[in-house]
Amino acid sequence: MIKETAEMLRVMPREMRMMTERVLSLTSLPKGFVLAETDLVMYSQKLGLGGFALLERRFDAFRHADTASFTILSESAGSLRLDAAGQHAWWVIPTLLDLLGELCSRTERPTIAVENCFDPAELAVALALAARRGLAVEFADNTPPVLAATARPVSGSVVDDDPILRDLHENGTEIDAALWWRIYHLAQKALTPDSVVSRRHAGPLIVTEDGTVIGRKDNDDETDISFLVAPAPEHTREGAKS
Amino acid sequence: MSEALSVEVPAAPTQRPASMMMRPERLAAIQPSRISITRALMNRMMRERWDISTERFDVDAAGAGTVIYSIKAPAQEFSFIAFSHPPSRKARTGRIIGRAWDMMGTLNEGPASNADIEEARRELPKLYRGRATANALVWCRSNRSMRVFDETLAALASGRQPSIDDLADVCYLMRNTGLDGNGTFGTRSFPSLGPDHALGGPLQAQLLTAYLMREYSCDLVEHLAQLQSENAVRLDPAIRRYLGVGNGSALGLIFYVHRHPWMIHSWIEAREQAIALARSLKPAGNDPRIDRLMALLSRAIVFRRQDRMVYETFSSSDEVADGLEKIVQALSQWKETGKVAGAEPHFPLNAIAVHLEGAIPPEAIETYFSLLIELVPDEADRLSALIGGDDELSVTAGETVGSLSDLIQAQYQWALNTDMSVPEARRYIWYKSETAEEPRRGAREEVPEAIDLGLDLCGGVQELLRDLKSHDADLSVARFLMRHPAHRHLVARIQSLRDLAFHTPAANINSEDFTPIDLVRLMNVGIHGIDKTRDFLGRNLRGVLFHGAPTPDEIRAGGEHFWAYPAEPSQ
Repeated sequence: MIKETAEMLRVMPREMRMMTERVLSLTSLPKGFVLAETDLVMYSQKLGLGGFALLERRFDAFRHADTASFTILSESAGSLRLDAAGQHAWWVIPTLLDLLGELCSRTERPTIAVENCFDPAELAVALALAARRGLAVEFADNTPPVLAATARPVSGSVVDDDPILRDLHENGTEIDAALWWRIYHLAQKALTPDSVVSRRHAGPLIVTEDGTVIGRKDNDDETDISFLVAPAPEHTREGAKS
Repeated sequence: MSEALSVEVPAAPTQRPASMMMRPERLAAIQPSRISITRALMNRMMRERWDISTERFDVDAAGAGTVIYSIKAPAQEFSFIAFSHPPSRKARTGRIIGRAWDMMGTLNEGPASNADIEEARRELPKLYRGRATANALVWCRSNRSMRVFDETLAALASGRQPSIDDLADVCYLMRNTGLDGNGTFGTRSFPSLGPDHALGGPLQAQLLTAYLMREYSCDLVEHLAQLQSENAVRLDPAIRRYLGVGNGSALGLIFYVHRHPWMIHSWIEAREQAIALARSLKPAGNDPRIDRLMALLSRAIVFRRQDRMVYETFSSSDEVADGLEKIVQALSQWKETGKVAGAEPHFPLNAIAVHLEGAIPPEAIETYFSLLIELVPDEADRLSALIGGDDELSVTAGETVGSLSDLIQAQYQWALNTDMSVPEARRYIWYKSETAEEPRRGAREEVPEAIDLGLDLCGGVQELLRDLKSHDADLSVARFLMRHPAHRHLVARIQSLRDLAFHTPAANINSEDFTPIDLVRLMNVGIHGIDKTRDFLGRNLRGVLFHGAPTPDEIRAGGEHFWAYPAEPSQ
């Protein structure tokens, strides 16, 4: 087990995936892409690459990310050149793994050279994510960087096939506490500010503008009605006694 | 061909099809059973004679203090550390946005050390800013049902038992107001627990915690009564058993259903397979299993007749009881005559279901099926142990666009047939509030700033198929997704779930027609095993967990008996 210190936190996959999803939902990345790729930053963190610090540093640039801009420059005999259109390495990785997987079905050891990619060292995340997809990927940090793949057997159980994910589930990963809380607060922006109207969108009772209670009338849970109709406080994000 | 061979033998009943089972209204009708997690867990605790004991109960007359329980499974020990707080009426609500909790606690692996206790005391009140210790499985919170708790306390302190009339209106002393685990706040990640862990199955850690909340609520009211009066008495064991723990659930469970398709599939499949096995039985009329079934039905009828809850949209308990009585009549008639609806059935238990389907409320039919499972307990427990799954999606990049299109048209006709062109189809948006991350669902125009967190399966599948059709059928999914990255999640989901039957409810959750409570009910009633689930505004359920469950003394004594559907204790 990783020992916690005053400066470091042990964070778990569920939290990292949730924060990643929320932060990326604030960018131009499409929802369907974000939902499928919440592991990229977590693996980067676990592997000692840029991780959440890089996510924070690149956040403004990610507001203009475009994952539909990649093009295949050339392709022959299992060797492919991909133009990443200046996009970040994280957003190219899913396409690289897809193409390597497809090529592996008809070529013994396909390679892809990635041109025009931002933060190319982060392409190393692909090595870890490849395991669950039945691929063993090698990464040469050349100019341009090149990834090569061979097929590897999988059991069908993602946790068994992916040792990094298993380690993450068992031990989480360490992260600088101050960084984590900055990410947490950035992610909170993906949530919707509280309001009296919004409070009517959940719960067993609704308090209308004229004070009428709709729904649960017995108030058996002793709901403080004034709490439901009070104006939103300045800062309500923790919602707890902190 | 001989005469014997020419007799047509009906095929044994099989599991019901997904096209029927995955309709929201059918999922909503599923009733608690031996496959429900609370019942499966409690039955195993009884078989394995778990030892739950109080190690510390240090609470003052105002209700402030510390409580420690030890939970010993055969090969593992856990501890439940709870902090009791005097009730506050300010900012109190059953919703997770509440800020007043009468108890906060943690279920940990291993015995409670002083360091664990002090860490929990410091971190739990911070909640979203708190960090759990590495051995924490679940953080929890609960609130008293003030009226019932206070009446029970007053009765015990004055040397008498509480009135059943008062208790039966609610059936619990305290309500669960939050169970967080699986990595939340740094708790242990459940996929790491593994099959040999005593709480390694889905939802088991959370629901053991709920059981401990129930024990805590009974211990607390007895303790406070003793502090008030030397003449105080303890709860009658029958009343203590009758009391469960309250539970409120709502929109967040729709997110859970969509994020855990393997778990949903495996749970429904386990139940359907167990039902099919039971429907295939060919008992004689004097088979003792039939007597047992009739006794269980009678127990369920009494339970429903005594139910004092009022339901907004579901069948009333009297209607369900009427339906169950028709089943008992059909069983009795078959025992006497060998006939169901005038015919001699090959599979009589199945024939009764077929005969009464549509003639009695669906909750009654599903109660019958749940009770049939008790006739195949070993098979049901074996199937129950298989529930779970990784819930990780991945793309199969080498599949062709043509193959994926065929798959969608074969498996998602319900989504393709949904009319997404009308405004009502996209009326609602699903989002979470900044305040306590409460899941909410509202008209889009009322929260224009909200980011949509819902899974738009119908719209997404229709757009995906349209885009797939715009490409050559031989194109690989890898190259399709390079051009259409927005479809990535849906493609991974559809490909990953292709071999499962029961993974996704056939519902457009953004639509005016969708009733969220249907899927909340699947989770609460069917999967969790919660009784007396009152519904509010089509989106909230309040019910009773572990209603009638054995006490720790009974668990420690071992053996296994049917404890659900408790009758009101007599006074």
